[in-house]
Amino acid sequence: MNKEAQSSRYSDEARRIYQVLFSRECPEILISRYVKAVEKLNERLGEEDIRAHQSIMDRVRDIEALEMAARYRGLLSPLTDKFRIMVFLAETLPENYNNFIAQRTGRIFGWMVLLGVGVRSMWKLMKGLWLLSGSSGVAKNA
Amino acid sequence: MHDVVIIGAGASAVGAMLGLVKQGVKPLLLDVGFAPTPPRSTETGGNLYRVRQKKDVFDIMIGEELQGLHNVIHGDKRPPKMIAPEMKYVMRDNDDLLPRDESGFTPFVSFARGGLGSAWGCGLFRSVAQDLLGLPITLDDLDPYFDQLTQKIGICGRDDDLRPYFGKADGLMPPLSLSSKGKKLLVAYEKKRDVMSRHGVHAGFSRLAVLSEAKDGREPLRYDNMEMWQAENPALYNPYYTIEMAVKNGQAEYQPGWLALSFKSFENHVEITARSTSDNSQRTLCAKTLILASGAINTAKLALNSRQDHRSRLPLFDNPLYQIPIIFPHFIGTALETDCFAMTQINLVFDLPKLGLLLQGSAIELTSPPRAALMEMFPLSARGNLALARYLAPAAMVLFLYFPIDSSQGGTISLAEDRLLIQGQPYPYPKKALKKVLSSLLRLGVLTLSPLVQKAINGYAVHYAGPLPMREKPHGEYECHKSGRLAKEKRIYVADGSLFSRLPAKNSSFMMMANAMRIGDLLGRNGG
Repeated sequence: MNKEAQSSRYSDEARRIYQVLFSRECPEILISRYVKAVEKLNERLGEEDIRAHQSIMDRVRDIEALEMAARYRGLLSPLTDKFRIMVFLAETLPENYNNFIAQRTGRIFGWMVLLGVGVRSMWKLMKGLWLLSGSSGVAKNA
Repeated sequence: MHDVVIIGAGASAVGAMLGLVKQGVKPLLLDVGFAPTPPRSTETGGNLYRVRQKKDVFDIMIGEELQGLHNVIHGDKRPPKMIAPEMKYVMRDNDDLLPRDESGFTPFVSFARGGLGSAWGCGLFRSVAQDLLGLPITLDDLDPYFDQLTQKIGICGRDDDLRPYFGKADGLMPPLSLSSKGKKLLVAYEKKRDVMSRHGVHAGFSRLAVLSEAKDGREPLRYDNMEMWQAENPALYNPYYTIEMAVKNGQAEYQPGWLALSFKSFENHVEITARSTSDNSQRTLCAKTLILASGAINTAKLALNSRQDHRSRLPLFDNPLYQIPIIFPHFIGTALETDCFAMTQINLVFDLPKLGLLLQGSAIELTSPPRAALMEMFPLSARGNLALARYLAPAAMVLFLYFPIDSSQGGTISLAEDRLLIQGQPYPYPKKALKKVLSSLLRLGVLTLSPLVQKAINGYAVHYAGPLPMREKPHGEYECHKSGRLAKEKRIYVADGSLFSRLPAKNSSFMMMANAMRIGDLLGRNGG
């Protein structure tokens, strides 16, 4: 794949991951930073891993579930690394400040949110494990 | 010909320098000495969180060279402070300047001015008698130097229940203000002091090389959460500050840009071969006395390299360290505290005589690292972890729990061709001790679970020791006399962590500094 096509693929990846995390459009500045970071990450990953990962990204819609299941299974996942990269990059923007930092105290609300995300994560985990079992042979590259 | 050349410019080198300066000897410090870029500034730009609300902080938290993503991109486990963009000089070129192969031990090595003291946690604890058991020095040997260094550096803390473990509190600055969770933990301890004491648990303020009051032109701490983001933060002591002052006063010389490669002893002098880090040219310096003080790993390499010894395997170890996340239920869902000191709040000592262990823990605030770094520890889905960062992280601290160690439990360092070979060995899982610690924490009202406890990689505690131990009667060429003099050498002294054949369960930087000052002082009395 030429550099331009690869760059375009990673830009789409950035938009998808950002959408999963924040449910909104990814700012352009983050896309270019993400592409640069993933190109560096690829220097550590083997060609085979990169290709397998791209194939999974093309086939699976719920990448959040897949990422969690891969992490749960203890797989060293390029997908987890990419989520981590996006989170680190997203945190630097003031528009995401509220997503990371609680500015007001709301203890009951806080506990309820934690309960809610706990239940949601269980669902995502089950779905992800099902996706992994359905993608036999590529699990280690998830 | 120089009277005394000191290799290094970290905490131990500064200790040795001060001992010599006290006796009127003007040493030369030879060092690689990378400096921060951009140069040190006293302006921080304000509180980290207020800055983050207003502007893109990519430059502060990630950097154009993506240093902030180092651990993700390289699959590494460097402490967050060492990958902050402004701190890149701390780890700069260390793989090139100290080529090495590692297995089971990941050493952190710095060629920065100030050494690893440029990115440390600032804990400086005096030794007590039991810390020095098995060593040829006693508390009487070190006490005067602890006193002098306390004045010189500016250490904050308080005389409290930890005095039996951290030594006397004379000359300390007032302690830093505690964060709300730090206060909560200390109050919980004070309310249950008798019960906790029966279980061997003691708590109190930390002893930190952080200014709570202005000193020598340095500003006190601003509580702006910039501790891990700002190079040479004036409130946090960096050994280079003392070198800078000594050079300014004409008491010492400092030559950065030189990597010491080897030494050779002669009847009346020592020759030191060094390589320029800018053009790779080599030079030879002559000195009446040489002090090796560039940290246990560099010092071991110099000793082995100077003898072209590819056979000997010297001991190397650091404290086994466990990281225990602790949650304060009362703080779940509260706003993040953005105006506090983002490092050690209080210390806890766990005296477990039945297990023959005395452990020490530092309860550390998590307000300064990126939330993204904390999310890596969380078990939920990516979006769930984001919610945990927002609602759970304000309720979390981490306890760094240190275990004692000696050379029998550690690894080895040797020279293979031109590369160092560093090998660690697994530390047996201390199940009973951890169980006791966790139940003590529950008694203090904080939540924690054993599956959350993580053993840090060997080398993470960063207080390396062991290669050239001090002995009452040294044997072989890789042991030292009580004076720090290397056995079978007349003019070579060692003055860093290499000298210690065991480490107590605490940050040993202050012990190493005081011992280095003792060695410098003794040497200075004999005219260098």
